[in-house]
Amino acid sequence: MTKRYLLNFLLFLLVIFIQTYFGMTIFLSSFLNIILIFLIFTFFYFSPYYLFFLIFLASIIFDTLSSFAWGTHLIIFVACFGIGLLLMKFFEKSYFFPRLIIGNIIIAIYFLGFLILNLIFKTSPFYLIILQQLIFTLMGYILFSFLFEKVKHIKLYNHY
Amino acid sequence: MKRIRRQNFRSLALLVIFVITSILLFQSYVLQENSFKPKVVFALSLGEPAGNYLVNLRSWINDLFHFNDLRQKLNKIKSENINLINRFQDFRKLQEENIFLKEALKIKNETDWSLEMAEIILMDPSGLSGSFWINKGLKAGLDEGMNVIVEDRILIGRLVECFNDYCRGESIFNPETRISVEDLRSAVLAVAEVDTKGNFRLKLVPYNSDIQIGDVLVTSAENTNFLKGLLVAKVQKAGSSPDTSSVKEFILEPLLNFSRLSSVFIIKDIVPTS
Repeated sequence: MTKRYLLNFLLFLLVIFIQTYFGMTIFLSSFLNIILIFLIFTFFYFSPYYLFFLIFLASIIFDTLSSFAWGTHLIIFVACFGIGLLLMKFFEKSYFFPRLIIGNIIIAIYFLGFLILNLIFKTSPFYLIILQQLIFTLMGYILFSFLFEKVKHIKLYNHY
Repeated sequence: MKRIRRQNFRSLALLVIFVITSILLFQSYVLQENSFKPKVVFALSLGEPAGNYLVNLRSWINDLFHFNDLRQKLNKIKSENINLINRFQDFRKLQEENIFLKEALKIKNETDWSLEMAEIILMDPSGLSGSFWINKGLKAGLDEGMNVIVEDRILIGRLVECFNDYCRGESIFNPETRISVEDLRSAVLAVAEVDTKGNFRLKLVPYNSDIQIGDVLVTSAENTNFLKGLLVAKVQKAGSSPDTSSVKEFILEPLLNFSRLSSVFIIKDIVPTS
């Protein structure tokens, strides 16, 4: 079990590294949020306390590198995964489609959070870029979910 | 019964511990902002040698999807280059006259700004704020408000937060940035800002203003955040404003060359007053 957590943490560090350097840009642009997708997968297969620790680290990095108020990403991450925890009471996470639905809802709430913050605090909302990022991340999450499910089936098939 | 009570008590104790830990963590998170930021930047910048491969890969993929656009721009630059060479011949005479007059009237050359060279080590990966970090800070004599440029006096943005060894800046693409600009050709003043779609635009320009496609815009003296005379953008496209027909809007093409953004200069002498 410790090995699983350690591997997951190392993978998290790699994802952070890729998102930071592959995604960095000085102008406004839309990009696939792979850290969010990774956190969603961690949410389904690991403890919520460990997830909270990863959220803490991811928020520090995003809040440092962006010009949003300190704590913005932490609040949005906690809000969307908090709602995800509530959704788990109504959906069964061991099945594929409920996981897909919960993941999509978490992604939608994450970007909705930015939209709301921009409407409240900024004078020129850039909803189109946020919308593009939402669509890219949703598509990325659906693709990774199908791939992951395929790999799981292949492993099970080989096991038996 | 006792077992149930024990279980309930344990759950309650765990919940209380979790809530207290969360509050303490959140409090430490909020209070340690100035301590976390330079450490995070230092930790992430350690991966720069490997990270540069990812940056180059992204540029390559971007070029792959925009090769047609690049080809058109290249042809446009080639014809502009020929125009400039021809115009240079005309200006050479004026330049010689200018030197002669300066010597005759004993006018001193304009003193250049004091520039500090730095490197952009990190940028915003979320693509939502245009924020960047440079590898020099208070120890190098930098301060908040200083303008950041590349060679050829092209404006990138300004510093907004400084630590001992690092500074954070906001580029001109930050959604809250408004730059007072002046048309180099016609001296018309206008305001450039990022619109709702993330494009750089000139808004509320009176309909009879003399601004044409291809005009170069520089920062004007009306700016509180930026020094005068820094290159900003070129007018790319004209259109009428959707709100009213008595004003015009222009889409601008920034003059920043994104592939050469690693090394920048910070103008140290003057900090514009906000």
